[in-house]
Amino acid sequence: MFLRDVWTITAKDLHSELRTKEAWNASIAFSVVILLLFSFAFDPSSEQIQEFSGGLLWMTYAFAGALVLNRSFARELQNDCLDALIASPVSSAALFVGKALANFAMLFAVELVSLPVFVLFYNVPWSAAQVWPMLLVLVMGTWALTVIGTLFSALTVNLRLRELMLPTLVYPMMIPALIAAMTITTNVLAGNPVGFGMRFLVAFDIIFTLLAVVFVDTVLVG
Amino acid sequence: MNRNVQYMLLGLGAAWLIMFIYVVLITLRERKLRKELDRVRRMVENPNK
Amino acid sequence: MREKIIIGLAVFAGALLAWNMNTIFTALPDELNQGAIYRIIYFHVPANILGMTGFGLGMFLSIGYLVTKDLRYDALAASVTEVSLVFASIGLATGSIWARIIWGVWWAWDYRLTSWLVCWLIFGGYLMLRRAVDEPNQRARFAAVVSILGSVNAYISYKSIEWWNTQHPQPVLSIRNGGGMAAGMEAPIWWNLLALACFSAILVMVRMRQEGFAREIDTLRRMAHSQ
Repeated sequence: MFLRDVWTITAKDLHSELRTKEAWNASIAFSVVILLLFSFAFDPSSEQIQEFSGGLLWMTYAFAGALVLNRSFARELQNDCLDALIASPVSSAALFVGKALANFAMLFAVELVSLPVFVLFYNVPWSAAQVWPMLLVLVMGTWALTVIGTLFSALTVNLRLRELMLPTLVYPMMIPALIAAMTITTNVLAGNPVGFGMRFLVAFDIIFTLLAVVFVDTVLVG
Repeated sequence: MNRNVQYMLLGLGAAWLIMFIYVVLITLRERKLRKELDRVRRMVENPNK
Repeated sequence: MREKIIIGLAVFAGALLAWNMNTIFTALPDELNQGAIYRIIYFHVPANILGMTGFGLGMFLSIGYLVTKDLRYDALAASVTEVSLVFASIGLATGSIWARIIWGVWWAWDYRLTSWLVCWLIFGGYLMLRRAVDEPNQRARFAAVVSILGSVNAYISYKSIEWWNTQHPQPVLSIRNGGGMAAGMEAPIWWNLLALACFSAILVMVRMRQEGFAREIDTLRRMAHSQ
Protein backbone atom coordinates (compact mmCIF):
# COMPACT_ATOMS: atom_id res chain seq x y z
CA MET A 1 0.00 0.00 0.00
CA PHE A 2 2.74 2.38 1.03
CA LEU A 3 4.95 1.30 -1.86
CA ARG A 4 2.12 1.71 -4.31
CA ASP A 5 1.50 5.26 -3.09
CA VAL A 6 5.19 6.02 -3.34
CA TRP A 7 5.32 4.68 -6.86
CA THR A 8 2.26 6.67 -7.89
CA ILE A 9 3.79 9.91 -6.65
CA THR A 10 7.16 9.17 -8.22
CA ALA A 11 5.58 8.30 -11.56
CA LYS A 12 3.40 11.42 -11.44
CA ASP A 13 6.33 13.72 -10.79
CA LEU A 14 8.51 12.10 -13.45
CA HIS A 15 5.71 12.18 -16.03
CA SER A 16 5.02 15.82 -15.29
CA GLU A 17 8.69 16.66 -15.62
CA LEU A 18 9.22 14.65 -18.80
CA ARG A 19 6.31 16.42 -20.43
CA THR A 20 7.80 19.89 -20.10
CA LYS A 21 11.46 19.07 -19.41
CA GLU A 22 11.82 22.54 -17.88
CA ALA A 23 13.88 21.60 -14.84
CA TRP A 24 15.78 18.99 -16.81
CA ASN A 25 16.91 21.39 -19.52
CA ALA A 26 17.69 24.14 -17.05
CA SER A 27 19.69 21.77 -14.85
CA ILE A 28 21.77 20.30 -17.65
CA ALA A 29 22.45 23.68 -19.17
CA PHE A 30 23.36 25.11 -15.78
CA SER A 31 25.73 22.29 -14.90
CA VAL A 32 27.53 22.57 -18.24
CA VAL A 33 27.84 26.32 -17.81
CA ILE A 34 29.23 25.95 -14.29
CA LEU A 35 31.80 23.40 -15.47
CA LEU A 36 32.73 25.79 -18.24
CA LEU A 37 33.07 28.76 -15.90
CA PHE A 38 35.16 26.80 -13.43
CA SER A 39 37.45 25.75 -16.28
CA PHE A 40 38.24 29.43 -16.81
CA ALA A 41 38.81 29.92 -13.11
CA PHE A 42 41.30 27.08 -12.88
CA ASP A 43 43.66 25.81 -15.54
CA PRO A 44 42.12 22.46 -16.49
CA SER A 45 45.31 21.06 -17.93
CA SER A 46 47.35 21.40 -14.76
CA GLU A 47 48.30 18.46 -12.56
CA GLN A 48 46.63 20.10 -9.58
CA ILE A 49 43.18 19.62 -11.03
CA GLN A 50 43.24 16.12 -9.58
CA GLU A 51 43.25 17.58 -6.10
CA PHE A 52 39.96 19.37 -6.40
CA SER A 53 38.27 17.36 -9.13
CA GLY A 54 35.85 15.91 -6.61
CA GLY A 55 35.09 19.35 -5.23
CA LEU A 56 34.34 20.82 -8.65
CA LEU A 57 32.05 18.00 -9.58
CA TRP A 58 29.96 18.13 -6.45
CA MET A 59 29.73 21.92 -6.48
CA THR A 60 28.25 21.62 -9.94
CA TYR A 61 25.82 18.96 -8.78
CA ALA A 62 24.78 20.92 -5.71
CA PHE A 63 23.97 24.05 -7.71
CA ALA A 64 22.26 22.25 -10.57
CA GLY A 65 20.41 20.12 -8.07
CA ALA A 66 18.97 23.17 -6.35
CA LEU A 67 17.06 23.95 -9.54
CA VAL A 68 15.44 20.54 -9.50
CA LEU A 69 14.79 20.43 -5.77
CA ASN A 70 13.29 23.89 -5.56
CA ARG A 71 10.55 22.93 -7.97
CA SER A 72 9.76 19.73 -6.16
CA PHE A 73 6.98 21.01 -3.95
CA ALA A 74 6.66 24.38 -5.61
CA ARG A 75 5.13 22.79 -8.69
CA GLU A 76 2.18 21.65 -6.55
CA LEU A 77 1.20 25.15 -5.52
CA GLN A 78 -0.84 25.86 -8.64
CA ASN A 79 -4.50 24.90 -8.49
CA ASP A 80 -4.12 23.90 -4.82
CA CYS A 81 -2.56 20.60 -5.81
CA LEU A 82 -0.51 20.57 -2.61
CA ASP A 83 -3.60 20.82 -0.44
CA ALA A 84 -5.22 18.05 -2.45
CA LEU A 85 -2.17 15.83 -1.99
CA ILE A 86 -2.06 16.46 1.74
CA ALA A 87 -5.77 15.79 2.10
CA SER A 88 -5.57 12.61 0.05
CA PRO A 89 -5.19 9.14 1.66
CA VAL A 90 -1.52 9.17 0.67
CA SER A 91 0.52 9.49 3.86
CA SER A 92 2.99 12.37 4.15
CA ALA A 93 5.82 9.87 4.39
CA ALA A 94 4.76 8.23 1.12
CA LEU A 95 4.44 11.64 -0.49
CA PHE A 96 7.92 12.57 0.67
CA VAL A 97 9.55 9.31 -0.39
CA GLY A 98 7.78 9.44 -3.74
CA LYS A 99 8.96 12.98 -4.43
CA ALA A 100 12.44 12.21 -3.13
CA LEU A 101 12.74 9.24 -5.49
CA ALA A 102 11.56 11.33 -8.43
CA ASN A 103 14.03 14.09 -7.54
CA PHE A 104 16.76 11.52 -7.12
CA ALA A 105 16.08 10.08 -10.56
CA MET A 106 16.17 13.50 -12.18
CA LEU A 107 19.26 14.60 -10.31
CA PHE A 108 21.07 11.33 -11.02
CA ALA A 109 20.24 11.66 -14.71
CA VAL A 110 21.62 15.21 -14.78
CA GLU A 111 24.78 13.99 -13.07
CA LEU A 112 25.27 11.12 -15.48
CA VAL A 113 25.00 13.54 -18.38
CA SER A 114 27.38 16.13 -16.92
CA LEU A 115 29.95 13.57 -15.78
CA PRO A 116 31.32 12.93 -19.31
CA VAL A 117 31.39 16.69 -19.88
CA PHE A 118 33.46 17.02 -16.73
CA VAL A 119 35.84 14.23 -17.80
CA LEU A 120 36.18 15.91 -21.18
CA PHE A 121 36.75 19.49 -20.04
CA TYR A 122 39.16 18.62 -17.28
CA ASN A 123 41.09 15.78 -18.91
CA VAL A 124 40.34 13.53 -16.00
CA PRO A 125 42.22 10.24 -16.33
CA TRP A 126 39.71 7.48 -16.39
CA SER A 127 39.85 3.71 -15.91
CA ALA A 128 37.24 0.95 -15.83
CA ALA A 129 38.04 0.08 -12.23
CA GLN A 130 36.71 3.46 -11.13
CA VAL A 131 33.23 3.04 -12.56
CA TRP A 132 31.60 1.15 -9.70
CA PRO A 133 33.05 3.22 -6.83
CA MET A 134 32.12 6.34 -8.80
CA LEU A 135 28.55 5.19 -9.25
CA LEU A 136 28.36 4.28 -5.58
CA VAL A 137 29.47 7.70 -4.40
CA LEU A 138 27.15 9.34 -6.92
CA VAL A 139 24.20 7.38 -5.58
CA MET A 140 25.00 7.97 -1.90
CA GLY A 141 25.88 11.61 -2.33
CA THR A 142 22.91 12.39 -4.54
CA TRP A 143 20.55 10.71 -2.10
CA ALA A 144 21.86 12.94 0.70
CA LEU A 145 21.29 16.06 -1.40
CA THR A 146 17.86 14.82 -2.46
CA VAL A 147 16.62 13.97 1.01
CA ILE A 148 17.61 17.29 2.50
CA GLY A 149 16.50 19.27 -0.54
CA THR A 150 13.09 17.61 -0.72
CA LEU A 151 12.39 18.07 2.99
CA PHE A 152 13.29 21.73 2.90
CA SER A 153 11.39 22.18 -0.34
CA ALA A 154 8.34 21.02 1.60
CA LEU A 155 9.18 23.33 4.48
CA THR A 156 9.72 26.46 2.43
CA VAL A 157 6.97 25.92 -0.13
CA ASN A 158 4.52 28.28 1.50
CA LEU A 159 6.96 30.92 2.67
CA ARG A 160 6.88 34.23 0.92
CA LEU A 161 10.70 34.28 0.72
CA ARG A 162 10.96 30.75 -0.63
CA GLU A 163 13.69 31.47 -3.21
CA LEU A 164 15.87 32.97 -0.48
CA MET A 165 15.14 30.63 2.38
CA LEU A 166 15.61 27.35 0.51
CA PRO A 167 19.29 27.85 -0.39
CA THR A 168 20.00 29.48 2.99
CA LEU A 169 18.68 26.48 4.87
CA VAL A 170 19.65 23.69 2.52
CA TYR A 171 23.30 24.39 1.64
CA PRO A 172 24.70 24.46 5.20
CA MET A 173 22.77 21.31 6.00
CA MET A 174 24.23 19.57 2.94
CA ILE A 175 27.84 20.56 3.59
CA PRO A 176 28.94 17.49 5.61
CA ALA A 177 27.58 15.16 2.92
CA LEU A 178 29.09 17.29 0.16
CA ILE A 179 32.50 17.28 1.81
CA ALA A 180 32.36 13.50 2.24
CA ALA A 181 31.26 13.02 -1.38
CA MET A 182 33.97 15.39 -2.60
CA THR A 183 36.78 13.64 -0.75
CA ILE A 184 35.57 10.20 -1.83
CA THR A 185 35.29 11.32 -5.47
CA THR A 186 38.75 12.86 -5.44
CA ASN A 187 40.12 9.63 -3.99
CA VAL A 188 38.28 7.48 -6.54
CA LEU A 189 39.47 9.58 -9.47
CA ALA A 190 43.03 9.44 -8.18
CA GLY A 191 42.85 5.73 -7.62
CA ASN A 192 43.29 5.96 -3.86
CA PRO A 193 41.36 3.95 -1.29
CA VAL A 194 38.05 5.44 -0.30
CA GLY A 195 38.50 5.80 3.45
CA PHE A 196 36.29 6.92 6.32
CA GLY A 197 34.19 9.16 4.07
CA MET A 198 32.01 6.35 2.74
CA ARG A 199 30.98 5.17 6.20
CA PHE A 200 30.22 8.75 7.15
CA LEU A 201 28.16 9.29 3.99
CA VAL A 202 26.17 6.11 4.53
CA ALA A 203 25.48 7.04 8.15
CA PHE A 204 24.51 10.56 7.10
CA ASP A 205 22.11 9.20 4.48
CA ILE A 206 20.45 6.82 6.91
CA ILE A 207 20.09 9.37 9.70
CA PHE A 208 18.74 12.14 7.52
CA THR A 209 16.37 9.86 5.63
CA LEU A 210 14.91 8.70 8.95
CA LEU A 211 14.66 12.24 10.27
CA ALA A 212 13.07 13.48 7.05
CA VAL A 213 10.46 10.73 6.94
CA VAL A 214 9.61 11.33 10.61
CA PHE A 215 9.32 15.10 10.28
CA VAL A 216 7.76 15.57 6.86
CA ASP A 217 4.33 15.20 8.38
CA THR A 218 5.06 17.93 10.92
CA VAL A 219 6.27 20.19 8.14
CA LEU A 220 3.38 19.63 5.75
CA VAL A 221 0.47 19.23 8.09
CA GLY A 222 1.38 20.13 11.67
CA MET B 1 54.23 45.32 22.88
CA ASN B 2 54.75 41.64 22.33
CA ARG B 3 52.69 40.54 19.33
CA ASN B 4 51.47 37.59 21.33
CA VAL B 5 50.06 39.81 24.05
CA GLN B 6 48.57 42.13 21.42
CA TYR B 7 46.61 39.31 19.87
CA MET B 8 45.52 38.00 23.23
CA LEU B 9 44.01 41.38 24.03
CA LEU B 10 42.48 41.46 20.54
CA GLY B 11 40.91 38.08 21.19
CA LEU B 12 39.48 39.01 24.56
CA GLY B 13 38.36 42.32 23.11
CA ALA B 14 36.58 40.56 20.25
CA ALA B 15 34.73 38.30 22.69
CA TRP B 16 33.53 41.25 24.76
CA LEU B 17 32.68 43.30 21.68
CA ILE B 18 30.42 40.57 20.28
CA MET B 19 28.73 40.26 23.66
CA PHE B 20 28.32 44.01 23.86
CA ILE B 21 26.81 44.24 20.36
CA TYR B 22 24.32 41.53 21.26
CA VAL B 23 23.29 43.28 24.48
CA VAL B 24 22.77 46.50 22.51
CA LEU B 25 20.65 44.66 19.94
CA ILE B 26 18.57 43.06 22.69
CA THR B 27 18.04 46.41 24.37
CA LEU B 28 16.94 48.03 21.12
CA ARG B 29 14.53 45.18 20.47
CA GLU B 30 13.14 45.51 24.00
CA ARG B 31 12.48 49.19 23.45
CA LYS B 32 10.80 48.53 20.13
CA LEU B 33 8.62 45.80 21.60
CA ARG B 34 7.55 47.91 24.58
CA LYS B 35 6.60 50.78 22.29
CA GLU B 36 4.61 48.47 20.08
CA LEU B 37 2.93 46.88 23.10
CA ASP B 38 1.83 50.26 24.43
CA ARG B 39 0.53 51.24 21.03
CA VAL B 40 -1.51 48.08 20.64
CA ARG B 41 -2.79 48.30 24.23
CA ARG B 42 -4.03 51.78 23.53
CA MET B 43 -5.59 50.61 20.30
CA VAL B 44 -7.55 47.93 22.15
CA GLU B 45 -8.71 50.28 24.88
CA ASN B 46 -9.94 52.88 22.41
CA PRO B 47 -11.68 50.95 19.67
CA ASN B 48 -13.40 54.04 18.36
CA LYS B 49 -10.17 55.69 17.28
CA MET C 1 11.02 38.73 41.16
CA ARG C 2 12.59 38.04 37.83
CA GLU C 3 14.37 41.39 37.96
CA LYS C 4 15.92 40.39 41.29
CA ILE C 5 17.13 37.08 39.91
CA ILE C 6 18.67 38.81 36.92
CA ILE C 7 20.45 41.39 39.02
CA GLY C 8 21.60 38.75 41.48
CA LEU C 9 23.01 36.57 38.73
CA ALA C 10 24.67 39.53 37.07
CA VAL C 11 26.42 40.56 40.26
CA PHE C 12 27.51 36.99 41.00
CA ALA C 13 28.74 36.38 37.46
CA GLY C 14 30.49 39.73 37.33
CA ALA C 15 32.30 39.10 40.59
CA LEU C 16 33.26 35.57 39.57
CA LEU C 17 34.55 36.81 36.24
CA ALA C 18 36.59 39.56 37.85
CA TRP C 19 38.13 37.14 40.36
CA ASN C 20 38.86 34.64 37.60
CA MET C 21 40.43 37.23 35.32
CA ASN C 22 42.67 38.18 38.21
CA THR C 23 43.78 34.56 38.55
CA ILE C 24 44.32 34.22 34.83
CA PHE C 25 46.40 37.33 34.45
CA THR C 26 48.39 37.42 37.65
CA ALA C 27 48.62 33.97 39.16
CA LEU C 28 49.15 31.84 36.08
CA PRO C 29 52.39 31.80 34.13
CA ASP C 30 52.56 32.02 30.35
CA GLU C 31 52.28 28.71 28.61
CA LEU C 32 55.55 27.08 27.59
CA ASN C 33 55.03 26.82 23.85
CA GLN C 34 52.31 29.35 23.18
CA GLY C 35 53.16 32.35 25.30
CA ALA C 36 50.49 34.77 26.39
CA ILE C 37 48.01 33.97 23.63
CA TYR C 38 46.93 30.74 25.31
CA ARG C 39 44.77 32.73 27.71
CA ILE C 40 42.22 33.03 24.96
CA ILE C 41 41.29 29.46 25.80
CA TYR C 42 39.57 30.80 28.91
CA PHE C 43 36.94 32.40 26.69
CA HIS C 44 37.15 30.23 23.61
CA VAL C 45 36.38 26.92 25.29
CA PRO C 46 33.59 28.09 27.63
CA ALA C 47 31.91 30.01 24.80
CA ASN C 48 31.96 26.99 22.53
CA ILE C 49 30.81 24.66 25.30
CA LEU C 50 27.88 26.98 25.95
CA GLY C 51 27.14 27.24 22.24
CA MET C 52 27.15 23.52 21.65
CA THR C 53 25.21 22.70 24.80
CA GLY C 54 22.72 25.39 23.91
CA PHE C 55 22.12 24.00 20.45
CA GLY C 56 21.61 20.57 22.00
CA LEU C 57 19.25 22.01 24.61
CA GLY C 58 17.38 23.77 21.82
CA MET C 59 16.89 20.41 20.16
CA PHE C 60 15.29 18.93 23.29
CA LEU C 61 13.09 21.98 23.73
CA SER C 62 12.04 21.72 20.10
CA ILE C 63 11.08 18.09 20.62
CA GLY C 64 9.20 19.28 23.70
CA TYR C 65 7.24 21.69 21.57
CA LEU C 66 6.44 19.09 18.94
CA VAL C 67 5.17 16.71 21.62
CA THR C 68 3.20 19.16 23.76
CA LYS C 69 2.38 21.90 21.22
CA ASP C 70 3.01 24.40 24.02
CA LEU C 71 4.42 27.59 22.50
CA ARG C 72 6.46 28.33 25.60
CA TYR C 73 8.81 25.49 24.65
CA ASP C 74 9.24 27.15 21.29
CA ALA C 75 9.92 30.53 22.88
CA LEU C 76 12.53 28.99 25.16
CA ALA C 77 14.09 27.06 22.28
CA ALA C 78 14.37 30.26 20.23
CA SER C 79 15.89 32.19 23.13
CA VAL C 80 18.40 29.48 23.97
CA THR C 81 19.39 29.03 20.32
CA GLU C 82 19.84 32.74 19.78
CA VAL C 83 22.08 33.15 22.83
CA SER C 84 24.00 30.02 21.83
CA LEU C 85 24.57 31.50 18.40
CA VAL C 86 26.15 34.55 20.04
CA PHE C 87 28.47 32.33 22.06
CA ALA C 88 29.30 30.30 18.96
CA SER C 89 30.25 33.57 17.27
CA ILE C 90 32.52 34.42 20.18
CA GLY C 91 34.03 30.95 19.93
CA LEU C 92 34.70 31.30 16.22
CA ALA C 93 36.19 34.78 16.59
CA THR C 94 38.46 33.93 19.53
CA GLY C 95 39.56 30.69 17.88
CA SER C 96 40.41 32.52 14.69
CA ILE C 97 42.53 35.11 16.51
CA TRP C 98 44.35 32.38 18.44
CA ALA C 99 44.94 30.49 15.19
CA ARG C 100 46.51 33.56 13.57
CA ILE C 101 49.36 33.38 16.08
CA ILE C 102 49.68 29.67 16.61
CA TRP C 103 48.98 28.30 13.13
CA GLY C 104 49.83 31.44 11.19
CA VAL C 105 46.44 31.50 9.46
CA TRP C 106 43.11 33.08 10.36
CA TRP C 107 41.18 30.01 9.32
CA ALA C 108 41.74 26.36 8.44
CA TRP C 109 39.34 24.00 6.76
CA ASP C 110 39.69 21.11 9.17
CA TYR C 111 36.62 19.17 10.27
CA ARG C 112 36.17 20.82 13.67
CA LEU C 113 36.22 24.37 12.34
CA THR C 114 34.21 23.58 9.23
CA SER C 115 31.50 21.66 11.08
CA TRP C 116 31.23 24.38 13.72
CA LEU C 117 30.92 27.06 11.03
CA VAL C 118 28.23 24.93 9.39
CA CYS C 119 26.40 24.82 12.73
CA TRP C 120 26.65 28.57 12.95
CA LEU C 121 25.18 28.89 9.45
CA ILE C 122 22.38 26.43 10.15
CA PHE C 123 21.27 28.11 13.34
CA GLY C 124 21.67 31.52 11.75
CA GLY C 125 19.27 30.17 9.16
CA TYR C 126 17.03 29.04 12.02
CA LEU C 127 16.74 32.64 13.21
CA MET C 128 16.16 33.87 9.65
CA LEU C 129 13.43 31.29 9.19
CA ARG C 130 11.70 32.46 12.35
CA ARG C 131 11.61 35.96 10.90
CA ALA C 132 10.13 34.70 7.65
CA VAL C 133 7.09 32.97 9.17
CA ASP C 134 4.33 35.05 10.77
CA GLU C 135 1.95 32.44 12.10
CA PRO C 136 3.23 31.36 15.57
CA ASN C 137 2.35 27.66 15.35
CA GLN C 138 3.75 27.25 11.88
CA ARG C 139 6.88 29.15 12.89
CA ALA C 140 7.33 26.90 15.92
CA ARG C 141 6.90 23.74 13.85
CA PHE C 142 9.38 24.76 11.14
CA ALA C 143 11.89 26.06 13.65
CA ALA C 144 11.66 22.82 15.62
CA VAL C 145 12.45 20.71 12.56
CA VAL C 146 15.44 22.89 11.61
CA SER C 147 16.70 22.82 15.19
CA ILE C 148 16.55 19.04 15.38
CA LEU C 149 18.31 18.53 12.07
CA GLY C 150 20.86 21.18 12.94
CA SER C 151 21.69 19.42 16.18
CA VAL C 152 22.95 16.45 14.18
CA ASN C 153 25.61 18.81 12.88
CA ALA C 154 26.36 20.04 16.39
CA TYR C 155 27.00 16.44 17.37
CA ILE C 156 29.23 15.92 14.32
CA SER C 157 31.19 19.00 15.37
CA TYR C 158 31.57 17.71 18.92
CA LYS C 159 32.88 14.35 17.75
CA SER C 160 34.95 15.74 14.89
CA ILE C 161 38.19 15.92 16.82
CA GLU C 162 37.83 12.24 17.68
CA TRP C 163 36.75 10.97 14.28
CA TRP C 164 39.27 12.82 12.13
CA ASN C 165 42.84 14.04 12.35
CA THR C 166 42.07 17.69 12.81
CA GLN C 167 44.33 20.68 12.99
CA HIS C 168 42.22 21.74 15.94
CA PRO C 169 43.76 20.50 19.20
CA GLN C 170 42.71 17.16 20.57
CA PRO C 171 40.65 17.02 23.79
CA VAL C 172 42.65 18.27 26.75
CA LEU C 173 39.96 18.80 29.34
CA SER C 174 39.90 16.30 32.15
CA ILE C 175 36.34 15.24 31.43
CA ARG C 176 37.23 14.01 27.95
CA ASN C 177 40.78 12.91 28.10
CA GLY C 178 41.86 12.42 31.68
CA GLY C 179 43.62 15.78 31.71
CA GLY C 180 46.25 17.17 29.41
CA MET C 181 46.69 20.58 30.96
CA ALA C 182 49.16 21.68 33.60
CA ALA C 183 48.02 21.89 37.21
CA GLY C 184 45.97 24.98 37.96
CA MET C 185 45.46 25.86 34.30
CA GLU C 186 42.27 23.96 33.81
CA ALA C 187 40.23 25.22 36.73
CA PRO C 188 39.81 28.80 35.43
CA ILE C 189 38.15 27.35 32.32
CA TRP C 190 35.41 25.90 34.49
CA TRP C 191 35.02 29.06 36.57
CA ASN C 192 34.71 31.12 33.40
CA LEU C 193 32.21 28.62 32.11
CA LEU C 194 30.12 29.13 35.24
CA ALA C 195 30.28 32.92 34.90
CA LEU C 196 29.40 32.85 31.21
CA ALA C 197 26.63 30.36 31.88
CA CYS C 198 25.14 32.84 34.34
CA PHE C 199 25.36 35.54 31.70
CA SER C 200 23.67 33.30 29.17
CA ALA C 201 20.91 32.51 31.67
CA ILE C 202 20.33 36.24 32.11
CA LEU C 203 20.21 36.77 28.35
CA VAL C 204 17.80 33.87 27.90
CA MET C 205 15.52 35.28 30.58
CA VAL C 206 15.53 38.69 28.96
CA ARG C 207 14.81 37.11 25.58
CA MET C 208 11.98 35.04 27.06
CA ARG C 209 10.42 38.17 28.44
CA GLN C 210 10.61 39.71 24.98
CA GLU C 211 8.97 36.63 23.51
CA GLY C 212 6.20 37.15 26.06
CA PHE C 213 5.80 40.73 24.88
CA ALA C 214 5.65 39.60 21.27
CA ARG C 215 2.96 37.06 22.11
CA GLU C 216 0.95 39.68 23.98
CA ILE C 217 1.24 42.11 21.08
CA ASP C 218 0.03 39.39 18.76
CA THR C 219 -2.98 38.57 20.93
CA LEU C 220 -3.94 42.19 21.44
CA ARG C 221 -3.60 42.91 17.74
CA ARG C 222 -5.95 40.12 16.95
CA MET C 223 -8.36 41.38 19.58
CA ALA C 224 -8.19 44.90 18.18
CA HIS C 225 -8.90 43.71 14.67
CA SER C 226 -11.85 41.62 15.71
CA GLN C 227 -13.52 44.53 17.49
